[in-house]
Amino acid sequence: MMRVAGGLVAASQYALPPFVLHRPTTVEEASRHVAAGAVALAGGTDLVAQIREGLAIREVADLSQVRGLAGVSLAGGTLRIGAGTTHAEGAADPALRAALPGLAEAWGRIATARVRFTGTIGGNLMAGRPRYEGRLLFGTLGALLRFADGTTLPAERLAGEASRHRLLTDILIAGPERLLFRYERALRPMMTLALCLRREADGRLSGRAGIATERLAPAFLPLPELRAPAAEAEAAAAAAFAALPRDFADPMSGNAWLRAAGHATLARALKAIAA
Amino acid sequence: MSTLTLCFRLNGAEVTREIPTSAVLAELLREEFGCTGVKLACSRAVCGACTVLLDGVPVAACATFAFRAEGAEVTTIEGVAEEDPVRRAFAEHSAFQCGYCTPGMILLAKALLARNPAPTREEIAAWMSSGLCRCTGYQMILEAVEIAARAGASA
Ligand SMILES: Cc1cc2nc3c(=O)[nH]c(=O)nc-3n(C[C@H](O)[C@H](O)[C@H](O)COP(=O)(O)OP(=O)(O)OC[C@H]3O[C@@H](n4cnc5c(N)ncnc54)[C@H](O)[C@@H]3O)c2cc1C
Repeated sequence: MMRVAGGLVAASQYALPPFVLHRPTTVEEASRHVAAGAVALAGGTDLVAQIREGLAIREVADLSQVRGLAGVSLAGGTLRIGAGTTHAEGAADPALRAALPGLAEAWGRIATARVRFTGTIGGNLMAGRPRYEGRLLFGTLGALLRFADGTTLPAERLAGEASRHRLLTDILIAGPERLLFRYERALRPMMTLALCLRREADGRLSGRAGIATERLAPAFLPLPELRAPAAEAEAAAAAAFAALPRDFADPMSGNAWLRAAGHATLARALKAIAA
Repeated sequence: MSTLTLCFRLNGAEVTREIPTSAVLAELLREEFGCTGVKLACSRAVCGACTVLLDGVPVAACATFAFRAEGAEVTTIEGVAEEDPVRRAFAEHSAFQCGYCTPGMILLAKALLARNPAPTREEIAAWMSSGLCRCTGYQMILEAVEIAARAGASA
């Protein structure tokens, strides 16, 4: 195999090694297979690449026939996004567009048209690749990931290995009507930035920004409380980026540059979100 | 199970094969059915050369397990008639150079026009960015899709 730019491994054209295929129809059945070591297969847009990069798999649990894994719904003040929801379905979903238009718009910009029909948000998160944007979006939103074994995990704390052998079922976002969300990705792959503000009952806004690069898992930066985000944008951005770890840098995007670009992007996002 | 019997429709004809569970659709179409218009290049769903339509949806055949085609209609470039308006627009407008990306580009364009018969230039560019042309003949490709749309290719 040949190493090429970006840490990718040159593709092999050879047939993939055989595996035992399970085709569960319920979440419980799928979860049992995954807990026992089978690898979950959603759209396959990432898993096939993982196998070609050397992942050895002996058993696969195909999720395509599992009922109830896909779709978006709003109930009891919580937005629920099924892990099996494709990028195309999610971004176009009327419930999501009404409840959290900023997320729908951001989701609509992930990947190419062809990948969007098959790639799922669950696969995006669980692939564990820093360059995939799901963790930044949902981490900044303070979303909870719910697994079939009943456990939950804040999206910001998701780390590839920790979640192996668990079937992700949903992503939960509480109180979406109080959230303002904006995503800036014009500088991708150098830097992407997400902003989420929560409107408190007394009119104050609290929230955080998330910043990521092609190679770095996101850092989440708390914002000071705001009343008038446009007027307070510069000061809030400065305060947020003061907390960016000094070692948050990659070969393409140095720490000083990320601070400067991140500050400018966050200030702009705060002004835009206020408008 | 590590092998299975797969039945699907390929370019309008019912087909059945015994396949390993790990068979990838692109390899099956090329090796078993001689559909060499399904090009293999990146093998990781990035370049678009292997695009086929699965029940009308464009998919990367290099990153789709063949068993996912069960019961589906698979369309490759071999199933697109010569007089098809998209194919004609590509040919008449020289929307190819080496031709390697062309089957995938034509199938992508057909999927776009089936959903959006009158796309804007921006919509065409966004959609067709699923395919890479290493000869960089994008200008002609975008124009061919516009011409095909005007010729009523969605019909
Ligand atoms: C050309 C291309 C462009 C792309 N561009 C972008 C982009 O701009 N931004 C971006 O964010 N992403 C991008 N991606 C990545 C894309 O979003 C992911 O490939 C896709 O979301 C993966 O979903 P999937 O359903 O295909 O997952 P699969 O390939 O089926 O699975 C991926 C991983 O997740 C695991 N998994 C899947 N579902 C579950 C589940 N429910 N529970 C537990 N584990 C699970 C699998 O076991 C596997 O390890 C791109 C991909 C390609 C090929």
